[in-house]
Amino acid sequence: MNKFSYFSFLMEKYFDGSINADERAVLREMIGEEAGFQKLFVEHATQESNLRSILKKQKETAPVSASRRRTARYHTKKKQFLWAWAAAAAAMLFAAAGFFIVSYSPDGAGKEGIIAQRPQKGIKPPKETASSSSPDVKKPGHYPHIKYGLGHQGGDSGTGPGDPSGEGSRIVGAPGAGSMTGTTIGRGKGRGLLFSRDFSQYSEGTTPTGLSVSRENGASVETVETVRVLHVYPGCTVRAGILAWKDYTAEIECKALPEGEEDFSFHIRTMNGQKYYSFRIRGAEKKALLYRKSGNSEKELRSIQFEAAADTWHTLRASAVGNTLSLHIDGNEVMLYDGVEWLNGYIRIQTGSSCDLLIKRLAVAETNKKK
Amino acid sequence: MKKAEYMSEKKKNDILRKLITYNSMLSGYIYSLAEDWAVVEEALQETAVYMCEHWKDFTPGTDFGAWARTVAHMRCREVLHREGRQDRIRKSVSIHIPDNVWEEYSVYPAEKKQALTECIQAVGKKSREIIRLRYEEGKSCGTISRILKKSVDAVYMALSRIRQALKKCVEEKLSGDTV
Repeated sequence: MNKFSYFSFLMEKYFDGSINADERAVLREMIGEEAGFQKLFVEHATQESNLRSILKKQKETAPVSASRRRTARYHTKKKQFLWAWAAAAAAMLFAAAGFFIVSYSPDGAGKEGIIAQRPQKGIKPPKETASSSSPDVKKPGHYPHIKYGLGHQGGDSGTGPGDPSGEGSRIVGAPGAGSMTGTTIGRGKGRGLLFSRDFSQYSEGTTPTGLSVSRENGASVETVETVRVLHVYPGCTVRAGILAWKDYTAEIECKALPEGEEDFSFHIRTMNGQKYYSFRIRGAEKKALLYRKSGNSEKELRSIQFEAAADTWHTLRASAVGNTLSLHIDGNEVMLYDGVEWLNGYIRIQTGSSCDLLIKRLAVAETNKKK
Repeated sequence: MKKAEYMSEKKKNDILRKLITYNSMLSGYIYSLAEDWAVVEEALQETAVYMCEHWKDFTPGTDFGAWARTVAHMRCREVLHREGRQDRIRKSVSIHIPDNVWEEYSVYPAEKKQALTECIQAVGKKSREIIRLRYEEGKSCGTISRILKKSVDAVYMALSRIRQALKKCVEEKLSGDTV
């Protein structure tokens, strides 16, 4: 490389900004020695400035070339793709968070419920029933392939639209007068079935899945009087379902102890621990009541005289259809309230401070489900 | 009175026109002091602002280029001082270049610039790509070498050859020959 070429090479490095100290010293020396290099340097500097300004201007004014348009389209699509993924991920997170919030309400029942649901050492996992082998909690309409029977297996004289064959398609109100010993939701297959647990199918000491219990060991499956039941201990709350449940009928077959001093509540359309409708059975007062709880206020909406028969398993059916709530006890409509303020929510069963509740079966089915 | 105002306005416009003409030389001059194109832009802007504000300081008939370089030198020094790099000027490679050399290349006529623009369009495809990457995209020679899968030195040499070719092309165009 001759001196001129080397000088040109150094100038390229210099104007590129990548010249090192030694090379700069050489360049400086060369410029200082020869007037020709001084001219070359200044010429190079002005040409560099001109090239920069010309090409910068061309870039600003030139139409976008096809390749650059393609590149721009690619980047746009890439951005759209990334945004779509981000939106999908956010939606999934939101849905998961929503489901979690719905599943475990802030009233405290959920957190303890999670603990309570953990399998304990040495306890056999629960044996799921045919109906409970399906997912624990389903939103309405998730069982389109399953038929369900609301009919009266015992052949009682229901006057409602229940299907005596057990192949009916929807739950609409109560079967009317007559007992429901034969009964009803959750037995057999059912379309619109939202939740079902037959506790006789579960091992002792377990808490069936899908139920949230407000405190540890607050409710578990036990054998009482030769019957396998869910024993809800005093001062405990058991919860099932999700916030999205709207029109449904919830039914429990239960017995409260001690007899004559029953005190438990059947909450329906529960939004949270402070907002729900509650059918309450108070044996000491011989009353069945309906309350609306909203925040700190609790209002009595309905009250009827009710005395539970001794040593009898009762069937409580609470229905929520639109803005109407109804309570059927042993097949009889005992309470009706029209004026519900909120239209969705899960169910809860709450025992009083000195009441034990034994539940044979719990089932929830969607109402007004069309064929 | 009106004539004085007119003359003042004329003088101001002349200075602005000259400033535009001297722009390339001033850019190169500031680069030779700062060795940073970002500083060049900033110092050049401040030079223009200063000269517009102090246009009355310039005496017509004297060396405009010298005045412009002095202002540019001061503004460049200020910018570098703000960034704590004032030593750059002391180590500048252009310290030995006399003013008359700068003055020789101070004016870059519009026709010469037009010729250069045309010559850039006329270079070969590979050379055009190097020029585009270097001056349009503002990429360093190291980056260009990676893009074009060449050595850095090869890029320097290629740029040097392109520069020679452009110089020759411009000279030919200005002398009336066609390439």
